[in-house]
Amino acid sequence: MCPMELLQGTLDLLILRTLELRPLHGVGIADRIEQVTGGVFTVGAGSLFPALHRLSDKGWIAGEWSELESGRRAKFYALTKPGRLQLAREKKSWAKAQTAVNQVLAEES
Amino acid sequence: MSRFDRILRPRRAEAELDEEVRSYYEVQVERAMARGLTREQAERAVRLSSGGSEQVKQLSREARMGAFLESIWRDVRFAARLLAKSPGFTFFAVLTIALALGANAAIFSLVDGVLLKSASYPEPERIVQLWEKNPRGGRNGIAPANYLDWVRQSKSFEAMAAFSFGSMSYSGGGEVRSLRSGHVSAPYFDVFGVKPALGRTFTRDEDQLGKGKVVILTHRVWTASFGSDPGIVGREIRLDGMPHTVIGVLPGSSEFDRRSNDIWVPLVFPAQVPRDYHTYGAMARLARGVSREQAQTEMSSIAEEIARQYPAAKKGWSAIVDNYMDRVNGPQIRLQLKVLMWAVAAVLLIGCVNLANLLMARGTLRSREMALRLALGAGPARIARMLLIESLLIASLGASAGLLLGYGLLRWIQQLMPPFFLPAEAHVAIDYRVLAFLAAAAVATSLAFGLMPALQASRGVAADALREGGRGSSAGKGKLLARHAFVSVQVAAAFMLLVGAGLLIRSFANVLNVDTGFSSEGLVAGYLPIVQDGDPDADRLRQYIDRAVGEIRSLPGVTGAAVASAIPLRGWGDGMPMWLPEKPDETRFTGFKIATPDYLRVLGLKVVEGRLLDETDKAGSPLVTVVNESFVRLYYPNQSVVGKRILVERILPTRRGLGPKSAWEIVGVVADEKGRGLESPNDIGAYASFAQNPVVGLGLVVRGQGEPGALIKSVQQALWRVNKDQVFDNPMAVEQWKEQSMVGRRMTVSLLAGFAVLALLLACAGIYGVLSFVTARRAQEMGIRAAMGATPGDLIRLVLTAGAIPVVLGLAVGLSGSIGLGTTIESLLFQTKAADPMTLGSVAAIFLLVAMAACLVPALRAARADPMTALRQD
Repeated sequence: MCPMELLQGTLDLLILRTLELRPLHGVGIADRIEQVTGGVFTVGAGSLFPALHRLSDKGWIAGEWSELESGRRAKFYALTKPGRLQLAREKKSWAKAQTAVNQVLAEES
Repeated sequence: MSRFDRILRPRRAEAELDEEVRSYYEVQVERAMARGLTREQAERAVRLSSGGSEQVKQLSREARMGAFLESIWRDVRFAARLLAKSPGFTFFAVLTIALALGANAAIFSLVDGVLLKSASYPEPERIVQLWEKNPRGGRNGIAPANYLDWVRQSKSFEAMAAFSFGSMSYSGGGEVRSLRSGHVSAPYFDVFGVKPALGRTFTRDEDQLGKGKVVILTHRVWTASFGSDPGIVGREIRLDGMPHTVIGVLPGSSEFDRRSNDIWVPLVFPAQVPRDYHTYGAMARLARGVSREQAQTEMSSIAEEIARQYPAAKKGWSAIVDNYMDRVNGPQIRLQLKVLMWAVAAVLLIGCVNLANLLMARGTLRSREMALRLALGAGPARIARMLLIESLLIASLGASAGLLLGYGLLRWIQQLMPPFFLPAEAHVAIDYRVLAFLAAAAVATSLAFGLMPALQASRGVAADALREGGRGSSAGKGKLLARHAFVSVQVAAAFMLLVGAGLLIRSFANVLNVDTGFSSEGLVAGYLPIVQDGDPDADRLRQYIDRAVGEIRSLPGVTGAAVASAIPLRGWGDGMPMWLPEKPDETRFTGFKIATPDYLRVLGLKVVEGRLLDETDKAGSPLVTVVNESFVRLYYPNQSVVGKRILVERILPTRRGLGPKSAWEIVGVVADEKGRGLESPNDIGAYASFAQNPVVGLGLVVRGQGEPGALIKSVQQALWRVNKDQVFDNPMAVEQWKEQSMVGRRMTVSLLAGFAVLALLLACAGIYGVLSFVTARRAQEMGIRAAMGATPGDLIRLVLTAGAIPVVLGLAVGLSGSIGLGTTIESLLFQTKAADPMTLGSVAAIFLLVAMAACLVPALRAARADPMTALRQD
């Protein structure tokens, strides 16, 4: 199966979910999503960074500079309080949408 | 890094983005190298899989911008929803801003059009106006002989042109009518730098004797009377019975289309011109690199040389060079506009203070909501931004409605003004400049009333509100003080406005009550331009006027008719130098009105001493004059003047110069006629009989029964029976002229009074709002007081006193301010003192009354305080 590009809304949701556990930097987030989805979704820099900036502008995540093990500086993003609320909302609506879509697909077959 | 930081420090934001993306790429490259690739191979692999770093950065920037706009839009929608939820507040707030900004827009477009916008002339600062300076130091008209010397001798000017305004009869296409004509030296249009829309302007020799039968049309007349005929240039039209060739049409919608002149013809001087009869104006364009001061120096020395050469006529005379644009607007109109601008600014200030107060009150009511938002993680900056966007939304709605209101107000003002009321250089319109002003004013306004409440809401309030259940106490004290200070500011500003309006209203009433010396009922007057080909013969002129006046007198309903060298309220005819035989070296001045004997009777001027002019004062009989009371008061205080003689030069019938000095015997004294308009400070004047000194340049006065319009029509027809080419020019009921002469004053007074009332209402709304708010917060205290035995009367007194303190403070400030204001506008006042105790007193009384009424409602509410409320709250 070829890796799939993510839709914007879904990517946002996955990033929020990924950061729910602990703060991560860009490479870490991309790795984590690829790893958790078993390589189904890859996140390129061209969609990752715009998404991070969009989310931090909405106030859902906040970035802070910190050092990697290699000693290199990187920006670590963490979920904010409004971000947590937003994630909860999105989880709910995702579940709803998923149920609805599944129903439609089940009907067809 | 917050969004505000990013906006304020874009360079730092860019550096951070760069480092972030670079660090990502480096990590990827290092990983690839760990898999055994060389650095080069690794870099290429990463570029292939992740795309170029510049592209990534650009996408991030765009995402950020999109998110920013989106979040602004979210705030706007949120603010709109909130405003829609409290329609009462929104309506009041938007209405306040709309009224204030509407007034500001209208007045700004006036100020901008009259005072700020520059004229369309090229290099207008090089245009100067020239005057003779009379021995009293005043600006004086110019005698043509002096003007011609100036042209020949001066080197400071690129072009110089004399002018005089008159009228010419035009009979093309129907009844004969008069066109307002400008008679100007050939270089006139070069002085202004005006290029014609069609054809050409005058060539330099077209103002020489024997030439000059050419005419330039204004765009206005070309459109209205010549059907915008593109082939007009070269056509002949008859003016004053003589053929004139049209050589050009001036540009439309320019200064020359806003001047009253319909046509322009060359001013041709006769071979012999007077040096002592000052009837022309002159304009000039400074040569490149010559300053006004240098031109003034040169002109003074030329004029002094003329004075040395012709001491009899010119002793003590000099010349004045004025920057033309500086004198387009008189000090009166400048001051009036300034006063109006300050007035609308004050209204806006009062409105802003009201809204700031309201928003702060709302902020307190909403402090729980705000606290919740803060607790949920919205930063203080975010909350401040949200509230500011709400203010900006109110201001924008208000500005949009204000634009319509301002447009309406401006239209009303423009309808009030008679044609050519403003100088031609004024160009008043709602244009992009007004829109830009309005936009800037809206933003400034939203900050003025929104910033403080927004900061207050985003700061400290959160903790406060949760703790106290939205009632704040200790922190509230500072805010209460601020609110009371707001009330004082509003009261002071509104009071000063009311006093200003009051002073002008009194002045207006005084002008209305001015005694003109005559009754204007049934009186109509206009000019009687007489076409002169060659020198009009004195006898023929007398006969012509006799026939014309006789024809009018025989009209049914006409009780009297006369001609005079100036008509009531529209001037004194000639201002003439005068000598007393006993002091032949001292020059005095007097208004000198030449009139048929009936003039004094038609006006009904009261005889104080001696007799009026009559039919026995004929051409051959001894020269006589009737003077007025002002004349006697100045030159012969407490003396009987009948039988005394004055020396005044006769005016030539052609009005092209002065005759010999003659002795006129004073035969009577009459009450003053207001010659120079209702507000003229002096009316020193003498009347001479037309039969003894016939001249052209006459006006016609008729008193009769019936509607003035019909009377004017029948007078015109009577004149046509005598001479089918005779025009009755610019005829008007004297009463209507009187009304028109008060338009400027009426306009300023109505506007200022309107603004003052608006300010008063807004200030009262402010007083009411603050007091209601304070009283509501003290409801518990009132309950306790009531429980402790305070009567409703006690409670009312308590609230009224609390309300009165800031009002009285504001009044005190306003009172001292309005005395300063009175002095500033003193020159606009008429027979009214700057610190008029009656005005100050009555305005203060009105103010206190209205302010107390505004306090009364909350006071009564407080009086109904139920002791139970003390227990029930919280």
